[in-house]
Amino acid sequence: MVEGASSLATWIQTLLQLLWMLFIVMLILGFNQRLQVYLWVRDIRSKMVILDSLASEARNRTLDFLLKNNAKNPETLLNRVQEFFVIEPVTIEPTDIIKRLEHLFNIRVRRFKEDFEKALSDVDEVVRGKAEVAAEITAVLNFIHKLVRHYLLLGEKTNNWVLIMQLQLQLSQILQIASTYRRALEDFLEGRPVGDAAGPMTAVRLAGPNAKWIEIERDTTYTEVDFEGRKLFIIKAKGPAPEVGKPGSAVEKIVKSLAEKGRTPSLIITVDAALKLEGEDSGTIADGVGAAIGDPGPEKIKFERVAAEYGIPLRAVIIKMSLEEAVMAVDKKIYEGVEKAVERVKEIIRSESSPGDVVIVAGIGNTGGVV
Amino acid sequence: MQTLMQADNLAQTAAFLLLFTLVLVIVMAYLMSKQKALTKSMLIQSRRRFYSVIDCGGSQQVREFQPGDYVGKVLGPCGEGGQAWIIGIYSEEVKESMK
Repeated sequence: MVEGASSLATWIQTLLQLLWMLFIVMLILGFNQRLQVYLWVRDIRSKMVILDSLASEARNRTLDFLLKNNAKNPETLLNRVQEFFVIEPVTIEPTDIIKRLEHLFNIRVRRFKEDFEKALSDVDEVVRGKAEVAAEITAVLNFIHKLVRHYLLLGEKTNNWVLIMQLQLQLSQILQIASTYRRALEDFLEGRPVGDAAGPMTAVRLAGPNAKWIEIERDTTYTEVDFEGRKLFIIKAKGPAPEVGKPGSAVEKIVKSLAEKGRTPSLIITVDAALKLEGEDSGTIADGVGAAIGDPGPEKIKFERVAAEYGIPLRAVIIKMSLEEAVMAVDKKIYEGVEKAVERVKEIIRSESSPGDVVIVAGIGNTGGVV
Repeated sequence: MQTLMQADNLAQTAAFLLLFTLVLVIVMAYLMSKQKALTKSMLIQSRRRFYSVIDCGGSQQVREFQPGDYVGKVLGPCGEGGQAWIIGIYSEEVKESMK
Protein backbone atom coordinates (compact mmCIF):
# COMPACT_ATOMS: atom_id res chain seq x y z
CA MET A 1 0.00 0.00 0.00
CA VAL A 2 2.81 2.39 1.00
CA GLU A 3 4.83 1.35 -2.06
CA GLY A 4 1.80 2.07 -4.37
CA ALA A 5 1.37 5.53 -2.86
CA SER A 6 5.07 6.20 -3.26
CA SER A 7 4.96 5.22 -6.95
CA LEU A 8 1.88 7.43 -7.58
CA ALA A 9 3.52 10.34 -5.77
CA THR A 10 6.62 9.98 -7.95
CA TRP A 11 4.51 9.98 -11.12
CA ILE A 12 2.51 13.03 -10.07
CA GLN A 13 5.68 14.84 -9.06
CA THR A 14 7.26 14.06 -12.44
CA LEU A 15 4.12 15.25 -14.23
CA LEU A 16 4.11 18.49 -12.25
CA GLN A 17 7.76 19.05 -13.06
CA LEU A 18 7.01 18.47 -16.75
CA LEU A 19 4.10 20.93 -16.57
CA TRP A 20 6.34 23.54 -15.00
CA MET A 21 8.98 23.01 -17.68
CA LEU A 22 6.29 23.29 -20.36
CA PHE A 23 5.06 26.48 -18.73
CA ILE A 24 8.57 27.96 -18.76
CA VAL A 25 9.14 26.92 -22.40
CA MET A 26 5.82 28.55 -23.36
CA LEU A 27 6.86 31.72 -21.55
CA ILE A 28 10.13 31.77 -23.53
CA LEU A 29 8.19 31.24 -26.79
CA GLY A 30 5.93 34.22 -25.98
CA PHE A 31 2.73 32.38 -25.04
CA ASN A 32 1.95 34.99 -22.38
CA GLN A 33 2.07 37.66 -25.07
CA ARG A 34 -0.29 35.71 -27.30
CA LEU A 35 -2.68 35.29 -24.41
CA GLN A 36 -2.47 39.02 -23.71
CA VAL A 37 -3.16 39.84 -27.40
CA TYR A 38 -6.12 37.44 -27.34
CA LEU A 39 -7.55 39.28 -24.32
CA TRP A 40 -7.00 42.68 -25.96
CA VAL A 41 -8.69 41.55 -29.18
CA ARG A 42 -11.62 40.18 -27.18
CA ASP A 43 -11.96 43.50 -25.36
CA ILE A 44 -11.75 45.51 -28.62
CA ARG A 45 -14.39 43.33 -30.26
CA SER A 46 -16.77 43.75 -27.32
CA LYS A 47 -16.34 47.54 -27.46
CA MET A 48 -16.77 47.51 -31.25
CA VAL A 49 -20.24 46.07 -30.73
CA ILE A 50 -21.07 49.19 -28.69
CA LEU A 51 -19.53 51.47 -31.36
CA ASP A 52 -21.55 49.70 -34.04
CA SER A 53 -24.78 50.10 -32.07
CA LEU A 54 -24.08 53.82 -31.49
CA ALA A 55 -23.51 54.33 -35.24
CA SER A 56 -26.65 52.36 -36.16
CA GLU A 57 -28.78 54.19 -33.61
CA ALA A 58 -27.59 57.55 -34.93
CA ARG A 59 -28.28 56.49 -38.51
CA ASN A 60 -31.80 55.32 -37.66
CA ARG A 61 -32.54 58.48 -35.68
CA THR A 62 -31.33 60.68 -38.57
CA LEU A 63 -33.33 58.67 -41.10
CA ASP A 64 -36.44 59.02 -38.90
CA PHE A 65 -35.91 62.78 -38.78
CA LEU A 66 -35.46 62.98 -42.56
CA LEU A 67 -38.52 60.82 -43.23
CA LYS A 68 -40.62 62.85 -40.77
CA ASN A 69 -39.75 65.95 -42.77
CA ASN A 70 -40.61 64.31 -46.13
CA ALA A 71 -37.05 64.08 -47.41
CA LYS A 72 -36.58 62.67 -50.90
CA ASN A 73 -34.34 59.57 -51.02
CA PRO A 74 -33.11 59.93 -47.41
CA GLU A 75 -31.01 56.74 -47.50
CA THR A 76 -29.14 57.81 -50.63
CA LEU A 77 -28.55 61.24 -49.13
CA LEU A 78 -27.24 59.81 -45.86
CA ASN A 79 -25.00 57.31 -47.65
CA ARG A 80 -23.47 60.11 -49.73
CA VAL A 81 -22.85 62.31 -46.67
CA GLN A 82 -21.30 59.37 -44.79
CA GLU A 83 -18.78 58.70 -47.52
CA PHE A 84 -18.11 62.33 -48.50
CA PHE A 85 -14.49 63.47 -48.19
CA VAL A 86 -12.34 66.54 -48.61
CA ILE A 87 -8.80 66.11 -49.91
CA GLU A 88 -6.40 68.44 -48.11
CA PRO A 89 -4.56 70.89 -50.34
CA VAL A 90 -0.86 70.47 -51.15
CA THR A 91 1.22 71.74 -48.22
CA ILE A 92 4.77 71.45 -49.58
CA GLU A 93 4.00 74.54 -51.71
CA PRO A 94 2.55 76.93 -49.11
CA THR A 95 1.71 79.75 -51.51
CA ASP A 96 -1.99 80.51 -51.34
CA ILE A 97 -2.66 77.49 -49.13
CA ILE A 98 -5.32 79.36 -47.12
CA LYS A 99 -7.05 80.45 -50.31
CA ARG A 100 -7.05 76.88 -51.63
CA LEU A 101 -8.25 75.48 -48.29
CA GLU A 102 -11.06 78.03 -48.10
CA HIS A 103 -12.05 77.24 -51.68
CA LEU A 104 -12.35 73.53 -50.85
CA PHE A 105 -14.36 74.22 -47.67
CA ASN A 106 -16.69 76.54 -49.59
CA ILE A 107 -17.31 73.84 -52.18
CA ARG A 108 -18.00 71.30 -49.43
CA VAL A 109 -20.48 73.59 -47.65
CA ARG A 110 -22.20 74.50 -50.94
CA ARG A 111 -22.39 70.84 -51.98
CA PHE A 112 -24.02 69.85 -48.67
CA LYS A 113 -26.43 72.78 -48.72
CA GLU A 114 -27.55 72.08 -52.27
CA ASP A 115 -28.05 68.39 -51.57
CA PHE A 116 -30.13 69.10 -48.48
CA GLU A 117 -32.12 71.83 -50.24
CA LYS A 118 -33.01 69.35 -52.97
CA ALA A 119 -33.91 66.59 -50.53
CA LEU A 120 -35.76 68.80 -48.03
CA SER A 121 -37.41 71.37 -50.24
CA ASP A 122 -40.61 71.69 -48.16
CA VAL A 123 -39.06 72.70 -44.84
CA ASP A 124 -37.39 75.84 -43.48
CA GLU A 125 -33.64 76.34 -43.14
CA VAL A 126 -33.68 75.55 -39.40
CA VAL A 127 -34.93 72.01 -40.05
CA ARG A 128 -32.49 71.67 -42.96
CA GLY A 129 -29.65 72.82 -40.72
CA LYS A 130 -30.60 70.25 -38.08
CA ALA A 131 -30.75 67.51 -40.71
CA GLU A 132 -27.33 68.51 -42.01
CA VAL A 133 -25.74 68.35 -38.55
CA ALA A 134 -27.51 65.07 -37.77
CA ALA A 135 -26.11 63.57 -40.98
CA GLU A 136 -22.62 64.82 -40.10
CA ILE A 137 -22.80 63.30 -36.60
CA THR A 138 -23.95 60.02 -38.15
CA ALA A 139 -21.00 60.20 -40.54
CA VAL A 140 -18.58 60.79 -37.63
CA LEU A 141 -19.91 57.78 -35.68
CA ASN A 142 -19.79 55.61 -38.79
CA PHE A 143 -16.21 56.71 -39.45
CA ILE A 144 -15.10 55.99 -35.87
CA HIS A 145 -16.51 52.46 -36.11
CA LYS A 146 -14.87 51.85 -39.49
CA LEU A 147 -11.51 53.19 -38.32
CA VAL A 148 -11.42 51.03 -35.18
CA ARG A 149 -12.38 47.98 -37.26
CA HIS A 150 -9.64 48.83 -39.77
CA TYR A 151 -6.90 48.99 -37.13
CA LEU A 152 -8.10 45.81 -35.42
CA LEU A 153 -8.14 43.82 -38.67
CA LEU A 154 -4.81 45.31 -39.73
CA GLY A 155 -3.27 44.40 -36.37
CA GLU A 156 -4.57 40.84 -36.63
CA LYS A 157 -3.56 40.47 -40.28
CA THR A 158 0.01 41.65 -39.75
CA ASN A 159 0.28 40.12 -36.27
CA ASN A 160 1.16 43.59 -34.99
CA TRP A 161 0.49 43.37 -31.28
CA VAL A 162 1.73 46.92 -30.67
CA LEU A 163 -1.06 48.24 -32.92
CA ILE A 164 -3.63 46.11 -31.08
CA MET A 165 -2.30 47.21 -27.70
CA GLN A 166 -2.45 50.91 -28.69
CA LEU A 167 -5.99 50.47 -29.98
CA GLN A 168 -7.12 48.73 -26.81
CA LEU A 169 -5.57 51.41 -24.61
CA GLN A 170 -7.21 54.23 -26.58
CA LEU A 171 -10.56 52.55 -27.03
CA SER A 172 -12.10 53.70 -23.73
CA GLN A 173 -11.49 57.30 -24.75
CA ILE A 174 -12.78 56.66 -28.28
CA LEU A 175 -15.90 55.05 -26.84
CA GLN A 176 -16.48 58.05 -24.61
CA ILE A 177 -16.20 60.43 -27.58
CA ALA A 178 -18.58 58.31 -29.67
CA SER A 179 -21.08 58.15 -26.81
CA THR A 180 -20.91 61.94 -26.42
CA TYR A 181 -21.61 62.47 -30.13
CA ARG A 182 -24.56 60.10 -29.96
CA ARG A 183 -26.08 62.09 -27.10
CA ALA A 184 -25.31 65.40 -28.83
CA LEU A 185 -27.40 64.27 -31.81
CA GLU A 186 -30.55 64.51 -29.67
CA ASP A 187 -29.65 68.03 -28.49
CA PHE A 188 -29.13 69.24 -32.05
CA LEU A 189 -32.37 67.69 -33.29
CA GLU A 190 -34.33 69.19 -30.39
CA GLY A 191 -32.83 72.63 -31.12
CA ARG A 192 -31.08 73.10 -27.79
CA PRO A 193 -27.89 75.20 -27.76
CA VAL A 194 -24.71 73.19 -27.19
CA GLY A 195 -21.63 74.28 -25.24
CA ASP A 196 -19.95 75.50 -28.43
CA ALA A 197 -22.75 78.08 -28.68
CA ALA A 198 -21.23 79.99 -25.72
CA GLY A 199 -19.71 82.57 -28.11
CA PRO A 200 -22.95 83.35 -29.99
CA MET A 201 -24.87 83.35 -26.67
CA THR A 202 -22.48 86.00 -25.34
CA ALA A 203 -22.99 88.02 -28.54
CA VAL A 204 -26.79 87.83 -28.22
CA ARG A 205 -26.65 88.90 -24.56
CA LEU A 206 -24.54 91.93 -25.50
CA ALA A 207 -26.87 92.85 -28.36
CA GLY A 208 -30.07 92.74 -26.30
CA PRO A 209 -33.65 91.90 -27.30
CA ASN A 210 -34.15 94.73 -29.80
CA ALA A 211 -31.16 93.91 -32.02
CA LYS A 212 -31.83 93.64 -35.75
CA TRP A 213 -29.56 90.95 -37.15
CA ILE A 214 -28.50 91.54 -40.76
CA GLU A 215 -26.87 88.87 -42.94
CA ILE A 216 -23.45 90.08 -44.08
CA GLU A 217 -21.79 86.86 -45.24
CA ARG A 218 -23.00 83.32 -45.86
CA ASP A 219 -24.83 82.23 -42.66
CA THR A 220 -23.27 85.13 -40.74
CA THR A 221 -25.12 88.10 -39.25
CA TYR A 222 -24.22 91.34 -37.50
CA THR A 223 -25.97 94.05 -35.54
CA GLU A 224 -25.06 97.54 -34.35
CA VAL A 225 -25.53 98.44 -30.69
CA ASP A 226 -24.64 101.49 -28.59
CA PHE A 227 -22.72 100.75 -25.41
CA GLU A 228 -21.62 103.52 -23.03
CA GLY A 229 -20.88 105.92 -25.89
CA ARG A 230 -19.19 103.33 -28.12
CA LYS A 231 -20.63 101.79 -31.26
CA LEU A 232 -20.48 98.00 -31.09
CA PHE A 233 -20.64 95.81 -34.20
CA ILE A 234 -21.63 92.38 -32.94
CA ILE A 235 -21.10 89.42 -35.25
CA LYS A 236 -22.16 85.78 -35.02
CA ALA A 237 -23.37 82.93 -37.20
CA LYS A 238 -27.00 83.03 -38.29
CA GLY A 239 -29.31 80.99 -36.06
CA PRO A 240 -31.27 79.27 -34.75
CA ALA A 241 -30.18 76.64 -37.27
CA PRO A 242 -26.85 75.02 -36.30
CA GLU A 243 -24.33 77.05 -38.34
CA VAL A 244 -20.83 78.37 -37.70
CA GLY A 245 -20.85 80.95 -40.50
CA LYS A 246 -17.86 82.92 -41.75
CA PRO A 247 -17.04 85.32 -38.91
CA GLY A 248 -13.54 86.11 -40.25
CA SER A 249 -14.90 87.21 -43.62
CA ALA A 250 -17.64 89.25 -41.90
CA VAL A 251 -15.15 91.07 -39.64
CA GLU A 252 -12.86 91.74 -42.60
CA LYS A 253 -15.75 93.21 -44.58
CA ILE A 254 -16.93 95.43 -41.70
CA VAL A 255 -13.44 96.69 -40.82
CA LYS A 256 -12.67 97.60 -44.47
CA SER A 257 -16.02 99.30 -44.92
CA LEU A 258 -15.58 101.31 -41.68
CA ALA A 259 -11.97 102.22 -42.54
CA GLU A 260 -13.11 103.61 -45.89
CA LYS A 261 -15.44 105.93 -43.95
CA GLY A 262 -12.59 106.93 -41.64
CA ARG A 263 -14.02 105.04 -38.66
CA THR A 264 -11.43 102.30 -38.17
CA PRO A 265 -12.42 100.15 -35.15
CA SER A 266 -10.26 100.61 -32.08
CA LEU A 267 -10.71 97.07 -30.80
CA ILE A 268 -11.73 93.58 -31.98
CA ILE A 269 -12.83 91.02 -29.39
CA THR A 270 -13.51 87.36 -30.18
CA VAL A 271 -15.45 85.19 -27.72
CA ASP A 272 -15.37 81.41 -28.07
CA ALA A 273 -15.71 78.14 -26.19
CA ALA A 274 -12.33 76.53 -25.50
CA LEU A 275 -11.37 73.06 -24.36
CA LYS A 276 -10.30 73.07 -20.71
CA LEU A 277 -7.46 71.03 -19.32
CA GLU A 278 -8.42 68.19 -16.99
CA GLY A 279 -8.64 69.59 -13.47
CA GLU A 280 -9.83 73.01 -14.59
CA ASP A 281 -13.38 74.05 -13.72
CA SER A 282 -15.96 74.19 -16.51
CA GLY A 283 -17.47 77.59 -17.16
CA THR A 284 -14.45 79.56 -15.99
CA ILE A 285 -13.30 82.29 -18.34
CA ALA A 286 -9.97 83.74 -19.36
CA ASP A 287 -8.90 86.51 -21.69
CA GLY A 288 -5.87 86.93 -23.87
CA VAL A 289 -4.57 88.17 -27.18
CA GLY A 290 -5.31 86.73 -30.63
CA ALA A 291 -8.28 85.28 -32.47
CA ALA A 292 -10.28 82.83 -30.38
CA ILE A 293 -11.65 80.64 -33.15
CA GLY A 294 -11.14 76.94 -33.73
CA ASP A 295 -11.44 76.77 -37.50
CA PRO A 296 -8.75 75.04 -39.60
CA GLY A 297 -7.33 78.38 -40.74
CA PRO A 298 -9.21 80.38 -43.38
CA GLU A 299 -11.41 82.32 -40.94
CA LYS A 300 -8.83 82.73 -38.18
CA ILE A 301 -6.23 84.19 -40.53
CA LYS A 302 -8.71 86.84 -41.69
CA PHE A 303 -9.01 88.15 -38.11
CA GLU A 304 -5.23 88.25 -37.79
CA ARG A 305 -4.63 89.84 -41.20
CA VAL A 306 -7.23 92.57 -40.88
CA ALA A 307 -6.18 93.38 -37.30
CA ALA A 308 -2.51 93.57 -38.33
CA GLU A 309 -3.26 95.61 -41.48
CA TYR A 310 -5.16 98.31 -39.60
CA GLY A 311 -3.23 98.03 -36.33
CA ILE A 312 -6.31 97.06 -34.32
CA PRO A 313 -5.77 95.29 -30.96
CA LEU A 314 -7.13 91.74 -31.21
CA ARG A 315 -8.42 90.43 -27.89
CA ALA A 316 -9.90 87.06 -27.03
CA VAL A 317 -12.21 85.81 -24.28
CA ILE A 318 -12.67 82.06 -23.81
CA ILE A 319 -15.20 80.02 -21.85
CA LYS A 320 -13.62 76.77 -20.72
CA MET A 321 -15.35 73.42 -21.07
CA SER A 322 -14.68 69.75 -21.81
CA LEU A 323 -15.23 68.18 -25.24
CA GLU A 324 -18.36 66.52 -23.88
CA GLU A 325 -19.75 69.87 -22.70
CA ALA A 326 -18.83 71.53 -26.01
CA VAL A 327 -20.96 69.21 -28.12
CA MET A 328 -23.82 68.60 -25.69
CA ALA A 329 -26.58 70.94 -24.47
CA VAL A 330 -25.34 73.86 -22.36
CA ASP A 331 -25.31 73.01 -18.68
CA LYS A 332 -25.62 75.43 -15.80
CA LYS A 333 -21.87 75.94 -15.39
CA ILE A 334 -21.48 76.93 -19.04
CA TYR A 335 -24.54 79.17 -18.82
CA GLU A 336 -22.94 80.94 -15.85
CA GLY A 337 -19.69 81.09 -17.85
CA VAL A 338 -21.55 83.00 -20.57
CA GLU A 339 -22.76 85.53 -17.96
CA LYS A 340 -19.16 86.01 -16.79
CA ALA A 341 -17.95 86.35 -20.40
CA VAL A 342 -20.51 89.11 -21.07
CA GLU A 343 -19.19 91.04 -18.06
CA ARG A 344 -15.54 90.46 -19.04
CA VAL A 345 -16.19 91.72 -22.60
CA LYS A 346 -17.82 94.85 -21.15
CA GLU A 347 -14.80 95.40 -18.84
CA ILE A 348 -12.40 95.07 -21.79
CA ILE A 349 -14.44 97.53 -23.87
CA ARG A 350 -14.53 100.05 -21.01
CA SER A 351 -10.81 99.81 -20.27
CA GLU A 352 -9.41 99.50 -23.80
CA SER A 353 -11.60 101.86 -25.81
CA SER A 354 -12.98 105.34 -25.34
CA PRO A 355 -16.46 106.78 -25.83
CA GLY A 356 -16.95 107.51 -29.52
CA ASP A 357 -14.87 104.51 -30.62
CA VAL A 358 -16.05 101.62 -32.76
CA VAL A 359 -15.57 98.13 -31.32
CA ILE A 360 -16.17 94.77 -33.00
CA VAL A 361 -17.27 91.77 -30.93
CA ALA A 362 -17.46 88.36 -32.64
CA GLY A 363 -19.25 85.48 -30.91
CA ILE A 364 -17.65 82.39 -32.42
CA GLY A 365 -19.28 78.97 -32.44
CA ASN A 366 -22.31 76.96 -33.44
CA THR A 367 -25.61 78.87 -33.32
CA GLY A 368 -27.94 75.88 -32.98
CA GLY A 369 -30.62 77.08 -30.55
CA VAL A 370 -29.42 80.69 -30.65
CA VAL A 371 -31.07 83.42 -32.76
CA MET B 1 9.76 7.30 6.21
CA GLN B 2 11.07 8.58 2.86
CA THR B 3 7.75 7.71 1.15
CA LEU B 4 5.82 9.67 3.77
CA MET B 5 8.07 12.70 3.21
CA GLN B 6 7.49 12.45 -0.55
CA ALA B 7 3.72 12.35 -0.06
CA ASP B 8 4.00 15.36 2.24
CA ASN B 9 5.96 17.31 -0.43
CA LEU B 10 3.38 16.37 -3.03
CA ALA B 11 0.53 17.69 -0.92
CA GLN B 12 2.44 20.95 -0.34
CA THR B 13 3.11 21.42 -4.07
CA ALA B 14 -0.50 20.64 -4.97
CA ALA B 15 -1.77 23.09 -2.34
CA PHE B 16 0.60 25.77 -3.61
CA LEU B 17 -0.49 25.25 -7.23
CA LEU B 18 -4.15 25.30 -6.25
CA LEU B 19 -3.68 28.51 -4.29
CA PHE B 20 -1.68 30.10 -7.12
CA THR B 21 -4.37 29.23 -9.70
CA LEU B 22 -7.11 30.49 -7.40
CA VAL B 23 -5.37 33.85 -6.87
CA LEU B 24 -4.75 34.17 -10.63
CA VAL B 25 -8.43 33.52 -11.44
CA ILE B 26 -9.63 36.01 -8.79
CA VAL B 27 -7.26 38.74 -10.01
CA MET B 28 -8.27 38.22 -13.66
CA ALA B 29 -11.98 38.21 -12.81
CA TYR B 30 -11.52 41.41 -10.78
CA LEU B 31 -9.65 43.17 -13.62
CA MET B 32 -12.22 42.12 -16.22
CA SER B 33 -15.17 43.21 -14.08
CA LYS B 34 -13.44 46.55 -13.43
CA GLN B 35 -12.97 47.06 -17.16
CA LYS B 36 -16.63 46.23 -17.83
CA ALA B 37 -17.79 48.58 -15.08
CA LEU B 38 -15.67 51.37 -16.56
CA THR B 39 -17.17 50.86 -20.02
CA LYS B 40 -20.67 50.73 -18.55
CA SER B 41 -20.16 53.89 -16.50
CA MET B 42 -19.07 55.74 -19.64
CA LEU B 43 -22.22 54.78 -21.46
CA ILE B 44 -24.73 55.44 -18.71
CA GLN B 45 -26.92 58.30 -19.85
CA SER B 46 -28.03 60.41 -16.95
CA ARG B 47 -31.43 62.02 -17.40
CA ARG B 48 -31.41 65.75 -17.98
CA ARG B 49 -34.02 68.47 -17.70
CA PHE B 50 -33.89 71.62 -19.79
CA TYR B 51 -34.77 75.13 -18.76
CA SER B 52 -35.19 78.47 -20.53
CA VAL B 53 -34.24 81.68 -18.70
CA ILE B 54 -36.55 84.57 -19.54
CA ASP B 55 -35.55 88.16 -18.90
CA CYS B 56 -37.93 91.09 -18.54
CA GLY B 57 -36.18 94.39 -17.88
CA GLY B 58 -33.55 92.78 -15.64
CA SER B 59 -35.82 90.45 -13.69
CA GLN B 60 -35.35 86.84 -14.62
CA GLN B 61 -37.61 83.84 -14.55
CA VAL B 62 -36.82 80.20 -15.26
CA ARG B 63 -39.27 77.81 -16.92
CA GLU B 64 -39.09 74.39 -18.58
CA PHE B 65 -37.62 74.42 -22.10
CA GLN B 66 -40.31 74.24 -24.76
CA PRO B 67 -39.84 73.11 -28.37
CA GLY B 68 -39.22 76.24 -30.47
CA ASP B 69 -37.35 78.05 -27.69
CA TYR B 70 -33.99 79.55 -28.61
CA VAL B 71 -31.65 82.06 -27.02
CA GLY B 72 -32.55 85.57 -28.23
CA LYS B 73 -36.19 84.71 -28.95
CA VAL B 74 -38.44 87.67 -28.14
CA LEU B 75 -41.59 86.48 -26.40
CA GLY B 76 -43.47 89.78 -26.39
CA PRO B 77 -43.94 92.94 -24.38
CA CYS B 78 -43.66 92.80 -20.61
CA GLY B 79 -43.59 95.19 -17.66
CA GLU B 80 -43.44 98.86 -18.53
CA GLY B 81 -42.52 98.94 -22.21
CA GLY B 82 -39.99 96.13 -21.84
CA GLN B 83 -39.48 93.01 -23.93
CA ALA B 84 -39.53 89.51 -22.53
CA TRP B 85 -36.86 87.42 -24.23
CA ILE B 86 -34.97 84.19 -23.70
CA ILE B 87 -31.44 84.94 -22.50
CA GLY B 88 -30.32 81.40 -21.84
CA ILE B 89 -31.13 77.72 -22.10
CA TYR B 90 -29.41 75.17 -19.90
CA SER B 91 -29.69 71.59 -18.76
CA GLU B 92 -29.47 70.03 -15.33
CA GLU B 93 -28.97 66.37 -14.49
CA VAL B 94 -31.88 64.75 -12.74
CA LYS B 95 -30.77 63.11 -9.52
CA GLU B 96 -32.38 59.68 -9.27
CA SER B 97 -33.78 58.97 -5.82
CA MET B 98 -32.29 55.95 -4.06
CA LYS B 99 -34.68 53.05 -3.86
